[in-house]
Amino acid sequence: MAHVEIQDVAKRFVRGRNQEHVDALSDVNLTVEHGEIVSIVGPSGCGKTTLLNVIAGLTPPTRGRTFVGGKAVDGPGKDRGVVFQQDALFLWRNVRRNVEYGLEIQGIPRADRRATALRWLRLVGLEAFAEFWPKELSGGMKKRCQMAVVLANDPDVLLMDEPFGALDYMTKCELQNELLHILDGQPKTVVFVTHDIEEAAFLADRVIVMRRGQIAETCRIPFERPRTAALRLSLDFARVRQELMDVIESPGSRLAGGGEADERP
Amino acid sequence: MSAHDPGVAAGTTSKKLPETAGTPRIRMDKLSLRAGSVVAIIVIWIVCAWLVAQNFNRPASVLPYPWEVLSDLRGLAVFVGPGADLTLENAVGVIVDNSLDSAVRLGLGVMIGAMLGVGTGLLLGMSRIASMTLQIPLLLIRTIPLFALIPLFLTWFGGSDTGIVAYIAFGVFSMLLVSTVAAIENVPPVILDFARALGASRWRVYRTVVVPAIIPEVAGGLRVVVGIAWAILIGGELLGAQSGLGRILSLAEQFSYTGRMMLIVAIIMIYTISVDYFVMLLSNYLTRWAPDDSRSH
Repeated sequence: MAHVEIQDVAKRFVRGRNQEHVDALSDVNLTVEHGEIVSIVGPSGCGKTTLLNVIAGLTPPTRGRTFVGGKAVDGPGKDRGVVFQQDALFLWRNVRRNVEYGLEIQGIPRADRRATALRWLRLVGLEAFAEFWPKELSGGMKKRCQMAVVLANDPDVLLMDEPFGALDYMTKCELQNELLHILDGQPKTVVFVTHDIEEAAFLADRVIVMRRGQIAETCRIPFERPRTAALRLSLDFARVRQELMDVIESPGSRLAGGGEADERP
Repeated sequence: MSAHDPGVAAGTTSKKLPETAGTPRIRMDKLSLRAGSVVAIIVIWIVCAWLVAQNFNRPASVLPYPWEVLSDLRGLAVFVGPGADLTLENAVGVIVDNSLDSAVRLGLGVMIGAMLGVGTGLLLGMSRIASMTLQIPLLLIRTIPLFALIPLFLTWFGGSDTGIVAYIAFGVFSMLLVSTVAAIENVPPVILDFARALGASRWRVYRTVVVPAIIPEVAGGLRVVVGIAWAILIGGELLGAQSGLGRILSLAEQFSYTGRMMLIVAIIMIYTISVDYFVMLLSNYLTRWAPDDSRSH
């Protein structure tokens, strides 16, 4: 059974006295399998973030239902971790105690919380900054910290909303590599919203293209995992990225079959 | 930071910043500018006092010279009561006794008002309906001219200590209520979503996110409020109290002891600056985690 199942979801935002409305989502159907990484791409305003928030339970849909692990989504929950684009950190807690936040909710004893937090901080390369305030971290480090907060909470589904959108190219690549590395160690189902086609192609097993609140295309990315940083430099990758770009720009076409997956350097 | 990443090791070259040899000189200049402003104030004061002395019969009751004000410190002993010796000891006694009375009123009033104000703000913030319903009362509270309330509090409480404490508490309450409600509205929605997505209940989000997140803004509000609280206190004491710095200020005014009025004002200024400094230290400690743009200095 699919891990995430979205059935006929629609979301209409109504605002103002004239009841002006925007259909952010209409008739969206999507299933994500266990351990699959799905990227959602599309121009801004296409509804990709709304869709993610619906899965997260932060935005109730106007119509349709969402199931995660067979359970209907009704509000946010620790089974779905969300990494936001903004610097969402608890500024009044040091880095380690940020990571402990979710563990506190679960009622895990202090010593175990600390050990788990430090383990995750080591995994994202922040163990030297455990006792720092979030304001003392750079943008990339803040993002690492946020990922550690979410991952330490051990969600079944990882929802990421343009998490690396505000970072410079180098940091972005570094964090993509790290994310894949972490997911190789402990596979999770991931829905990754981005407007960066290279990022989508590098991370995802499947790329969903959205237009005007609807799913317009679905493309399989023919690279197997584990993927390494070297993939990014390969000709195959350049071609897949180009094809993906073509799909996004010209509606109707499909990405060519994935026979070249084994020719990775 | 995987080992495959080509950019990490190669990308770091260090550049030397130009030497900052000019800095100490600029700081010296700043210091002398500041000292200069103080000297200028004293010079202007002396000039004005001299002009007054040329044109008035009793110049000391209009504008005494600075040294006359300072040398009249023991004159404050007059407020011990009729026939008191004008000794330095009595003068210090007057300052200490009245300062203590004022400080107790101020401390009690600020504490009660701050707890009620922040507490009410937090209660209102918990419920969207409550804060929408109370928008107009909040606007009214914000626009109350505090000093115009003095007669009202006199009517209700007479000149009693309770009245003055209640008056300060009300002033502090109204100001901190407004800043608490505003601070709660300013908490970034994303951090609330983040906490909820990590599994926090609404009550936990309130307790562990909203409450700490508003500290910088409320602490900033508290600093403003404590500065104003001195003015409110003196205002209350001027009209109704049996003791306190405001009381002796009003006595000095009745007898045209201009120099002594200035001394009392100077004492109040010293207290205001000290208390503000203390509140600043406290607020800097409480907000040591906050990015600089949201801190008060």
